[in-house]
Amino acid sequence: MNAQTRARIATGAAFGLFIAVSHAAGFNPGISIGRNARTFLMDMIMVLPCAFILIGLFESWVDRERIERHLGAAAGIKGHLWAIALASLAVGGLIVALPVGYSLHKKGASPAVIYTFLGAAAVCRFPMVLFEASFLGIGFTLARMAVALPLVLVFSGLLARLTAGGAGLFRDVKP
Amino acid sequence: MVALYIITGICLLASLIADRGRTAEALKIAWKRFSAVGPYLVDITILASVLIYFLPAGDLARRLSGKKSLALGSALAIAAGAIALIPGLVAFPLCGSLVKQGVPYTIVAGFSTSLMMVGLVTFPLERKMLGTRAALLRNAAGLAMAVATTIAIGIVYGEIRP
Repeated sequence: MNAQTRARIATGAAFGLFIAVSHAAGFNPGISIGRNARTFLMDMIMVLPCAFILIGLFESWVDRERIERHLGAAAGIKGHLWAIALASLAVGGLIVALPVGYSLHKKGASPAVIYTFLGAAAVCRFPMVLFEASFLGIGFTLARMAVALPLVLVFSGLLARLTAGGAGLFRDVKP
Repeated sequence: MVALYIITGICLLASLIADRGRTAEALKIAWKRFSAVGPYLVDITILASVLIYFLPAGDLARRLSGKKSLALGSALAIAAGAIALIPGLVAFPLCGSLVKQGVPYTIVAGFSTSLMMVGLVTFPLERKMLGTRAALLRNAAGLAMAVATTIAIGIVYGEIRP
Protein backbone atom coordinates (compact mmCIF):
# COMPACT_ATOMS: atom_id res chain seq x y z
CA MET A 1 0.00 0.00 0.00
CA ASN A 2 1.61 3.26 -1.07
CA ALA A 3 1.34 6.67 0.56
CA GLN A 4 -1.27 7.84 -1.91
CA THR A 5 -3.59 4.94 -1.13
CA ARG A 6 -3.14 5.52 2.59
CA ALA A 7 -3.95 9.21 2.17
CA ARG A 8 -7.06 8.28 0.25
CA ILE A 9 -8.24 5.83 2.90
CA ALA A 10 -7.62 8.48 5.54
CA THR A 11 -9.60 11.03 3.53
CA GLY A 12 -12.47 8.61 3.06
CA ALA A 13 -12.48 7.72 6.76
CA ALA A 14 -12.37 11.39 7.79
CA PHE A 15 -15.28 12.11 5.49
CA GLY A 16 -17.25 9.19 6.93
CA LEU A 17 -16.51 10.41 10.44
CA PHE A 18 -17.64 13.92 9.52
CA ILE A 19 -20.96 12.55 8.26
CA ALA A 20 -21.41 10.37 11.36
CA VAL A 21 -20.64 13.26 13.74
CA SER A 22 -22.96 15.53 11.75
CA HIS A 23 -25.77 13.04 12.23
CA ALA A 24 -25.05 12.71 15.93
CA ALA A 25 -24.83 16.47 16.45
CA GLY A 26 -27.68 17.35 14.08
CA PHE A 27 -25.36 19.44 11.88
CA ASN A 28 -27.61 19.94 8.83
CA PRO A 29 -25.00 20.72 6.15
CA GLY A 30 -23.15 17.53 7.07
CA ILE A 31 -26.33 15.47 6.95
CA SER A 32 -27.19 16.94 3.57
CA ILE A 33 -23.71 16.27 2.18
CA GLY A 34 -23.96 12.72 3.51
CA ARG A 35 -27.24 12.25 1.67
CA ASN A 36 -25.64 13.52 -1.55
CA ALA A 37 -22.73 11.14 -1.11
CA ARG A 38 -25.05 8.21 -0.51
CA THR A 39 -27.15 8.94 -3.62
CA PHE A 40 -24.05 9.21 -5.73
CA LEU A 41 -22.30 6.19 -4.29
CA MET A 42 -25.39 3.95 -4.50
CA ASP A 43 -25.74 4.88 -8.14
CA MET A 44 -22.14 3.82 -8.75
CA ILE A 45 -22.32 0.66 -6.63
CA MET A 46 -25.34 -0.52 -8.59
CA VAL A 47 -23.70 -0.01 -11.96
CA LEU A 48 -19.99 -0.66 -11.48
CA PRO A 49 -19.91 -4.45 -10.85
CA CYS A 50 -21.83 -5.16 -14.06
CA ALA A 51 -19.88 -2.59 -16.04
CA PHE A 52 -16.48 -3.96 -15.06
CA ILE A 53 -17.50 -7.61 -15.53
CA LEU A 54 -18.61 -6.70 -19.05
CA ILE A 55 -15.30 -4.90 -19.62
CA GLY A 56 -13.45 -8.03 -18.48
CA LEU A 57 -15.50 -10.30 -20.73
CA PHE A 58 -14.95 -7.92 -23.63
CA GLU A 59 -11.19 -7.97 -23.18
CA SER A 60 -10.91 -11.72 -22.81
CA TRP A 61 -13.27 -12.73 -25.63
CA VAL A 62 -12.94 -10.10 -28.35
CA ASP A 63 -9.76 -10.51 -30.32
CA ARG A 64 -7.55 -7.61 -31.12
CA GLU A 65 -7.61 -8.16 -34.82
CA ARG A 66 -11.36 -7.59 -35.01
CA ILE A 67 -11.30 -4.32 -33.05
CA GLU A 68 -8.32 -3.10 -35.03
CA ARG A 69 -10.14 -3.76 -38.28
CA HIS A 70 -13.39 -2.05 -37.26
CA LEU A 71 -12.18 0.68 -34.90
CA GLY A 72 -8.57 1.15 -35.95
CA ALA A 73 -7.01 3.99 -37.87
CA ALA A 74 -7.88 2.40 -41.22
CA ALA A 75 -11.56 1.90 -40.42
CA GLY A 76 -12.55 5.44 -41.42
CA ILE A 77 -15.97 6.84 -40.61
CA LYS A 78 -17.33 3.35 -39.98
CA GLY A 79 -15.09 3.08 -36.94
CA HIS A 80 -16.64 6.25 -35.55
CA LEU A 81 -20.15 4.95 -36.18
CA TRP A 82 -19.28 1.76 -34.28
CA ALA A 83 -17.93 3.88 -31.44
CA ILE A 84 -21.18 5.86 -31.28
CA ALA A 85 -23.23 2.65 -31.29
CA LEU A 86 -21.08 1.26 -28.49
CA ALA A 87 -21.29 4.51 -26.53
CA SER A 88 -25.08 4.54 -26.73
CA LEU A 89 -25.05 1.28 -24.77
CA ALA A 90 -22.68 2.63 -22.13
CA VAL A 91 -23.66 3.04 -18.48
CA GLY A 92 -22.27 4.98 -15.54
CA GLY A 93 -20.70 8.01 -17.15
CA LEU A 94 -17.02 8.78 -17.47
CA ILE A 95 -16.05 6.54 -14.55
CA VAL A 96 -16.98 3.58 -16.74
CA ALA A 97 -16.35 5.13 -20.17
CA LEU A 98 -12.65 5.78 -19.47
CA PRO A 99 -11.85 2.14 -18.61
CA VAL A 100 -13.83 1.04 -21.67
CA GLY A 101 -11.78 3.51 -23.73
CA TYR A 102 -8.66 1.92 -22.31
CA SER A 103 -9.86 -1.56 -23.31
CA LEU A 104 -10.57 -0.30 -26.83
CA HIS A 105 -7.15 1.32 -26.93
CA LYS A 106 -5.50 -1.95 -25.90
CA LYS A 107 -7.35 -3.76 -28.64
CA GLY A 108 -6.09 -1.34 -31.27
CA ALA A 109 -8.80 1.32 -31.64
CA SER A 110 -7.46 4.64 -32.95
CA PRO A 111 -7.28 7.73 -30.70
CA ALA A 112 -9.87 9.57 -32.82
CA VAL A 113 -12.30 6.69 -32.42
CA ILE A 114 -11.69 6.66 -28.66
CA TYR A 115 -12.40 10.39 -28.48
CA THR A 116 -15.61 9.78 -30.40
CA PHE A 117 -16.53 7.03 -27.97
CA LEU A 118 -15.89 9.22 -24.91
CA GLY A 119 -17.74 12.16 -26.43
CA ALA A 120 -20.68 10.08 -27.60
CA ALA A 121 -20.93 8.43 -24.18
CA ALA A 122 -21.71 11.92 -22.85
CA VAL A 123 -24.17 12.70 -25.64
CA CYS A 124 -26.22 9.61 -26.39
CA ARG A 125 -26.06 7.00 -23.64
CA PHE A 126 -29.34 5.20 -24.12
CA PRO A 127 -30.62 5.13 -20.51
CA MET A 128 -29.76 8.80 -20.15
CA VAL A 129 -31.45 9.76 -23.42
CA LEU A 130 -34.64 7.95 -22.38
CA PHE A 131 -34.65 9.85 -19.13
CA GLU A 132 -33.99 13.16 -20.79
CA ALA A 133 -36.73 12.64 -23.37
CA SER A 134 -39.28 11.74 -20.74
CA PHE A 135 -38.57 14.84 -18.64
CA LEU A 136 -37.72 17.43 -21.29
CA GLY A 137 -39.55 16.08 -24.33
CA ILE A 138 -38.37 14.09 -27.33
CA GLY A 139 -37.96 17.30 -29.34
CA PHE A 140 -35.37 18.61 -26.91
CA THR A 141 -33.43 15.35 -27.04
CA LEU A 142 -33.50 15.12 -30.84
CA ALA A 143 -32.43 18.74 -31.30
CA ARG A 144 -29.60 18.33 -28.79
CA MET A 145 -28.29 15.16 -30.38
CA ALA A 146 -28.61 16.54 -33.91
CA VAL A 147 -26.21 19.32 -32.91
CA ALA A 148 -23.95 17.53 -30.46
CA LEU A 149 -23.21 14.29 -32.33
CA PRO A 150 -21.73 15.89 -35.47
CA LEU A 151 -19.71 18.16 -33.19
CA VAL A 152 -18.33 15.12 -31.36
CA LEU A 153 -17.14 13.74 -34.70
CA VAL A 154 -15.51 17.02 -35.72
CA PHE A 155 -13.82 17.47 -32.36
CA SER A 156 -12.57 13.88 -32.12
CA GLY A 157 -10.60 14.34 -35.33
CA LEU A 158 -9.26 17.64 -34.07
CA LEU A 159 -8.36 16.23 -30.64
CA ALA A 160 -6.57 13.28 -32.19
CA ARG A 161 -4.50 15.66 -34.30
CA LEU A 162 -3.73 17.98 -31.39
CA THR A 163 -2.57 15.15 -29.13
CA ALA A 164 -0.78 13.13 -31.80
CA GLY A 165 2.69 14.30 -30.82
CA GLY A 166 2.74 13.17 -27.19
CA ALA A 167 3.36 9.82 -25.58
CA GLY A 168 -0.21 8.78 -26.40
CA LEU A 169 -3.38 8.06 -24.49
CA PHE A 170 -3.41 5.80 -21.44
CA ARG A 171 0.37 5.75 -21.14
CA ASP A 172 0.29 5.85 -17.32
CA VAL A 173 -2.24 3.08 -16.90
CA LYS A 174 -0.72 -0.21 -15.85
CA PRO A 175 -1.73 -3.00 -18.25
CA MET B 1 -30.94 -1.28 -14.22
CA VAL B 2 -32.53 -4.73 -14.06
CA ALA B 3 -31.76 -5.17 -17.74
CA LEU B 4 -28.10 -4.44 -17.04
CA TYR B 5 -27.95 -7.21 -14.43
CA ILE B 6 -29.77 -9.66 -16.71
CA ILE B 7 -27.46 -8.91 -19.62
CA THR B 8 -24.35 -9.20 -17.47
CA GLY B 9 -25.65 -12.45 -15.95
CA ILE B 10 -26.35 -13.98 -19.34
CA CYS B 11 -22.93 -12.95 -20.72
CA LEU B 12 -21.15 -14.27 -17.66
CA LEU B 13 -23.04 -17.56 -17.76
CA ALA B 14 -22.43 -18.02 -21.49
CA SER B 15 -18.74 -17.31 -20.94
CA LEU B 16 -18.56 -19.81 -18.06
CA ILE B 17 -20.16 -22.52 -20.15
CA ALA B 18 -17.93 -21.80 -23.12
CA ASP B 19 -14.60 -21.53 -21.33
CA ARG B 20 -13.91 -21.54 -17.63
CA GLY B 21 -10.31 -20.36 -17.91
CA ARG B 22 -11.24 -17.39 -20.05
CA THR B 23 -14.00 -16.42 -17.67
CA ALA B 24 -11.58 -16.46 -14.76
CA GLU B 25 -9.26 -14.31 -16.82
CA ALA B 26 -12.14 -11.93 -17.59
CA LEU B 27 -12.92 -11.51 -13.90
CA LYS B 28 -9.28 -10.87 -13.18
CA ILE B 29 -9.23 -8.15 -15.85
CA ALA B 30 -12.48 -6.73 -14.43
CA TRP B 31 -10.86 -6.38 -11.01
CA LYS B 32 -7.70 -4.87 -12.47
CA ARG B 33 -9.64 -2.27 -14.46
CA PHE B 34 -11.71 -1.43 -11.43
CA SER B 35 -8.70 -1.00 -9.20
CA ALA B 36 -7.32 1.65 -11.59
CA VAL B 37 -10.49 3.69 -11.12
CA GLY B 38 -11.69 2.67 -7.66
CA PRO B 39 -9.46 4.95 -5.57
CA TYR B 40 -10.71 7.97 -7.50
CA LEU B 41 -14.24 7.07 -6.49
CA VAL B 42 -13.42 8.26 -2.97
CA ASP B 43 -12.32 11.70 -4.17
CA ILE B 44 -15.11 11.97 -6.70
CA THR B 45 -17.82 11.05 -4.20
CA ILE B 46 -16.57 13.52 -1.60
CA LEU B 47 -16.07 16.34 -4.08
CA ALA B 48 -19.37 15.77 -5.84
CA SER B 49 -21.41 15.61 -2.65
CA VAL B 50 -19.79 18.70 -1.12
CA LEU B 51 -20.10 20.68 -4.36
CA ILE B 52 -23.78 19.82 -4.79
CA TYR B 53 -24.35 21.10 -1.27
CA PHE B 54 -22.70 24.44 -1.91
CA LEU B 55 -24.05 24.72 -5.41
CA PRO B 56 -27.64 23.51 -5.38
CA ALA B 57 -28.13 23.45 -9.11
CA GLY B 58 -31.90 23.82 -9.04
CA ASP B 59 -31.79 26.80 -6.78
CA LEU B 60 -29.09 28.42 -8.85
CA ALA B 61 -30.85 27.91 -12.16
CA ARG B 62 -34.09 29.25 -10.67
CA ARG B 63 -32.31 32.40 -9.64
CA LEU B 64 -30.63 32.67 -13.03
CA SER B 65 -33.92 32.56 -14.84
CA GLY B 66 -34.80 36.10 -13.74
CA LYS B 67 -35.65 37.98 -16.90
CA LYS B 68 -32.44 39.96 -16.92
CA SER B 69 -30.10 38.21 -19.27
CA LEU B 70 -30.49 34.89 -21.00
CA ALA B 71 -26.83 34.94 -22.00
CA LEU B 72 -25.61 35.48 -18.45
CA GLY B 73 -28.03 32.90 -17.08
CA SER B 74 -26.92 30.34 -19.64
CA ALA B 75 -23.24 31.05 -19.03
CA LEU B 76 -23.69 30.50 -15.30
CA ALA B 77 -25.75 27.37 -15.92
CA ILE B 78 -22.97 26.01 -18.14
CA ALA B 79 -20.42 26.78 -15.43
CA ALA B 80 -22.56 25.07 -12.79
CA GLY B 81 -22.97 22.01 -15.02
CA ALA B 82 -19.24 21.82 -15.63
CA ILE B 83 -18.46 21.89 -11.92
CA ALA B 84 -21.20 19.56 -10.71
CA LEU B 85 -21.36 15.81 -11.13
CA ILE B 86 -24.91 14.58 -10.76
CA PRO B 87 -26.22 11.21 -11.96
CA GLY B 88 -28.68 11.50 -14.84
CA LEU B 89 -31.33 9.84 -12.68
CA VAL B 90 -31.26 12.92 -10.45
CA ALA B 91 -30.35 15.58 -13.00
CA PHE B 92 -33.10 15.11 -15.57
CA PRO B 93 -36.04 15.14 -13.17
CA LEU B 94 -34.49 18.35 -11.82
CA CYS B 95 -34.28 19.80 -15.35
CA GLY B 96 -37.86 18.77 -15.98
CA SER B 97 -39.08 20.58 -12.89
CA LEU B 98 -37.07 23.67 -13.83
CA VAL B 99 -38.76 23.83 -17.23
CA LYS B 100 -42.16 23.45 -15.55
CA GLN B 101 -41.30 26.41 -13.33
CA GLY B 102 -40.68 28.51 -16.39
CA VAL B 103 -36.88 28.39 -16.59
CA PRO B 104 -35.96 28.89 -20.29
CA TYR B 105 -34.97 25.77 -22.24
CA THR B 106 -31.71 27.49 -23.14
CA ILE B 107 -30.62 27.66 -19.51
CA VAL B 108 -31.71 24.09 -18.80
CA ALA B 109 -29.83 22.92 -21.91
CA GLY B 110 -26.72 24.78 -20.78
CA PHE B 111 -26.80 23.04 -17.45
CA SER B 112 -27.61 19.53 -18.69
CA THR B 113 -25.23 19.50 -21.65
CA SER B 114 -22.22 20.82 -19.77
CA LEU B 115 -23.07 18.48 -16.90
CA MET B 116 -22.64 15.58 -19.30
CA MET B 117 -19.77 16.88 -21.45
CA VAL B 118 -17.47 18.69 -19.03
CA GLY B 119 -16.28 17.17 -15.77
CA LEU B 120 -14.30 19.15 -13.27
CA VAL B 121 -14.79 16.58 -10.53
CA THR B 122 -13.74 13.66 -12.72
CA PHE B 123 -10.80 15.61 -14.15
CA PRO B 124 -8.11 14.00 -11.93
CA LEU B 125 -9.23 10.55 -13.07
CA GLU B 126 -9.35 11.64 -16.69
CA ARG B 127 -5.94 13.21 -16.39
CA LYS B 128 -4.49 10.00 -15.02
CA MET B 129 -6.03 7.93 -17.81
CA LEU B 130 -5.55 10.19 -20.84
CA GLY B 131 -2.67 12.42 -19.79
CA THR B 132 -2.86 16.11 -18.85
CA ARG B 133 -2.89 17.55 -22.34
CA ALA B 134 -5.54 15.23 -23.73
CA ALA B 135 -7.73 15.62 -20.64
CA LEU B 136 -7.52 19.41 -20.80
CA LEU B 137 -8.22 19.56 -24.52
CA ARG B 138 -11.07 17.09 -24.23
CA ASN B 139 -12.79 19.15 -21.53
CA ALA B 140 -12.22 22.35 -23.49
CA ALA B 141 -13.83 20.68 -26.49
CA GLY B 142 -16.68 19.53 -24.26
CA LEU B 143 -17.21 23.09 -23.11
CA ALA B 144 -17.24 24.39 -26.68
CA MET B 145 -19.74 21.72 -27.66
CA ALA B 146 -21.93 22.51 -24.66
CA VAL B 147 -21.99 26.20 -25.61
CA ALA B 148 -22.84 25.42 -29.24
CA THR B 149 -25.57 22.98 -28.24
CA THR B 150 -27.05 25.47 -25.77
CA ILE B 151 -27.25 28.17 -28.42
CA ALA B 152 -28.82 25.71 -30.87
CA ILE B 153 -31.47 24.69 -28.33
CA GLY B 154 -32.17 28.38 -27.68
CA ILE B 155 -32.77 28.93 -31.39
CA VAL B 156 -34.92 25.79 -31.75
CA TYR B 157 -37.16 26.89 -28.87
CA GLY B 158 -37.35 30.48 -30.12
CA GLU B 159 -35.66 31.89 -27.03
CA ILE B 160 -32.70 33.18 -29.03
CA ARG B 161 -33.48 35.03 -32.22
CA PRO B 162 -30.56 34.97 -34.60
